[in-house]
Amino acid sequence: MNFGTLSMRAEADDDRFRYLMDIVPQLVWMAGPDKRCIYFNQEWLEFTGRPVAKELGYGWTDNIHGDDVKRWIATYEQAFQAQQAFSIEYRLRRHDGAYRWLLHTANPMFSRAKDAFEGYIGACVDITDRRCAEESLRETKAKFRELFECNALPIFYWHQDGRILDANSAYLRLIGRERGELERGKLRWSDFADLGCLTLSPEAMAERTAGRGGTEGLEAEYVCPDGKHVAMLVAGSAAPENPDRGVACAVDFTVRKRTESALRSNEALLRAVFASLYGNVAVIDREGCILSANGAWTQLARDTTGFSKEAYVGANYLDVCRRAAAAGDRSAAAAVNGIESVLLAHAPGYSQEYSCPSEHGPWYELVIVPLRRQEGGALIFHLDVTSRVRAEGEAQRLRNELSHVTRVSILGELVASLAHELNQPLTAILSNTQAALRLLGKGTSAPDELREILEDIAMDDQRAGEIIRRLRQLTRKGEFVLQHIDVNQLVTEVYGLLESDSLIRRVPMECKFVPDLPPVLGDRIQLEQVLLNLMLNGLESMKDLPQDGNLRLVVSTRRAGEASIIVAVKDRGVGVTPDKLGSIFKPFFSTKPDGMGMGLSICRTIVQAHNGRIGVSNNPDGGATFEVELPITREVSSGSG
Amino acid sequence: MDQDERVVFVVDDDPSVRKSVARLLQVAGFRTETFVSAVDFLERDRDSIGGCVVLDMHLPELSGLDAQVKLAESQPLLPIVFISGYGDVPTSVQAMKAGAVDFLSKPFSAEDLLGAVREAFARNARERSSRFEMDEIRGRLSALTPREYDVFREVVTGQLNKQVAATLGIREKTVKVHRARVMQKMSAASLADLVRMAERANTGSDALRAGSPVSEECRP
Repeated sequence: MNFGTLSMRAEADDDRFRYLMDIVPQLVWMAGPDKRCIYFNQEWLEFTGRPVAKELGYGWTDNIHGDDVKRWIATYEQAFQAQQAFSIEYRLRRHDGAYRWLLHTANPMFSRAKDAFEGYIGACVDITDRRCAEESLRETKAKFRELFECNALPIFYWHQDGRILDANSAYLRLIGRERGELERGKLRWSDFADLGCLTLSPEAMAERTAGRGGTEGLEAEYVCPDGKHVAMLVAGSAAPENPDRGVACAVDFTVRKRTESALRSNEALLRAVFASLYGNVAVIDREGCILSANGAWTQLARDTTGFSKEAYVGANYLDVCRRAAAAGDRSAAAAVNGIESVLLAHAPGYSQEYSCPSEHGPWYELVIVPLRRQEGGALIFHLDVTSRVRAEGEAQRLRNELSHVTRVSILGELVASLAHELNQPLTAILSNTQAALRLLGKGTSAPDELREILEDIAMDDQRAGEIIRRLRQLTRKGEFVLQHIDVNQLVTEVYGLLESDSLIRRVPMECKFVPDLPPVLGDRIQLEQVLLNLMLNGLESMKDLPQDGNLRLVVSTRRAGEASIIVAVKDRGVGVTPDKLGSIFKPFFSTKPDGMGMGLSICRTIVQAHNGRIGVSNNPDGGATFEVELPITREVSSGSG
Repeated sequence: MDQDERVVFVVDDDPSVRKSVARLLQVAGFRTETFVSAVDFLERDRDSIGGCVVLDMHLPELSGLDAQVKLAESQPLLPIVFISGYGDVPTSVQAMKAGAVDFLSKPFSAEDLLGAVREAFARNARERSSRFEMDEIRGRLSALTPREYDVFREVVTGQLNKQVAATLGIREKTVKVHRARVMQKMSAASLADLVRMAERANTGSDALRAGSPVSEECRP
């Protein structure tokens, strides 16, 4: 068929066709039954930019993209064979050289009688832009899929009816299921978690998720087919257009949950430990506010009548103590200082003992320990030490008792010298009395002489009284009374007690004092007892030795550094055999046949009760030296400079 | 009375005792001198003969017993009355054995003290007369010839002249002559008198015997 034939049919139709073809915004072509193209509309020619002569026949196929040619030819051939409509997408070079995708549709043409195949008419639409859009959509989809699939966050699509429409591998991994099960529609989210919110009405769901973009996280637990326990936190949101479905993501917090549970049990353990702590325990912050207290503390605060009554959780303990201190409670005042010094990290800890509420009430030890944490604060313990304090008191009482007994036993050793000492004033009194009587008997009036005699008698009587007083003091059964003691004076007094003994035993004594020694804090009677014991032992050790110029007992005092004073008792006796040096201070140790063996043991007990120490060593030139070291009274030594 | 010459030396380290004892003695009519220690008393250079000492047993430095020993050397005739605040038996025995007049435990009565002091003076007087007699005997003995001394020694043992003659290897008549001479030189009224003198001489001090002009060793 050609245009000549057409023009022969109807000139007018032909012109109308031409106009029509040229305004169609598509590329139109026609081919005869021999497959050769016979017509291209203006749009086509403008597209390719080539003259019609070059396009006619097979000329136009020059412009088909090399990759599409074979496909085109096959489709074309096949179409002509079948004489049926066809369509194909292929790339055709435009006038500017760019290949554009065209959607090519063509219909076979038949004669009016439908008896003869007359070729094809086709139209092409530039679908490059559409294809690009499709391509980009595909890419976007793929990317999205990738994002969905490769996301470490388990994500699934849900439908209100319980189906899981889709799920990524992370989610399948989480619930331990296969993709196949998902694809077979076997997975329902309702099987894995009670996510009631996903079944809410669209309105309620919207309300629920408003402003947040999703529901709050819901905890769900699930046992996988392999028995693994999974804990997840699921948050879902509905699709805006289709509120019956949406996306949800699940967070695996099995590990965190385990940690949390461990933390919880750890915290419970700590609470249990705190509650079970011995004594009354409270935690205060750096301001002194009580943050927490164990049961015993609370009980104590409820029961006590002391200042701790107000020490409930939330109260400021420092203020409680301050108020008590202001009311005259001295132990509370000390506690305030102690707590503040610990809270300010001026002290590594603090403790004090106090009785509450009365002197004879229960005894407590208050211990403040700093809390080792950034925010500071401290732990406060009130420990009931009543039994310990009572035991200490009892021990002190027994010690006093024992030292009294040994003191009295020392008296036995002193009988001779005491008799000697007491007999002096008695002798004088008797002699004076008899002299006076004789004067009176003579009848001579000598009132001045009689007065003098009577005065002498009175003086000697006082002297005898003084000896008895000293004796009674030594055997007094007294409490342990601490006082400041001048050691030199102490030695002098004991020296006086033993002067007669020294005479009777014919062993001279000598004192060597360092003057102006600072005082020590101690119980006078007990320290006298120590010296008396040591000096008596020294005299005793030299009793049977031949008299020579060196035989003497020397008692000396001196300072030992800044903190203490030493009293040394040096004899020239037989000394202590080395095997006995270690046991000489032990109870029931005695070298005397009739000795009780308590003297030196009591000495050590007394000295130790004074925070001092006692020791013995043999002198290089014979005899032994006992040394008693006593701490200097601190406040006084610093006060006096 | 010669009481004014009788001095009592009071030695005691205790001032009250010293003063009151001295006072009592003075009231009783004695002169007193007081000393704080035995050393002080021993250093006193005057002769104490005719006095007595009241000595405290327990004195510092030199004890009473030690002082007694020293006094026996320097002043053997000085009687000692011990006073003691603590009278233990061994010490008192030792003191008495060493010739103390008495050992008084403090406190003592005036009677005991004054009695002891009087006894001390009496003994002192006896000692002094005894000492005088010994000096006499000693002088007479020194006048004897060696042979007369030999005869004296044999006669006072109670031997007869004949026995003396046999012992000395001389004739009985010669013994008689020597004996008569001895009786005369010794101013002996009788044999008993001579024996008493011999006893005095023998109980005297060693110095007396050593001071004897004749001894067996000296015999020719």
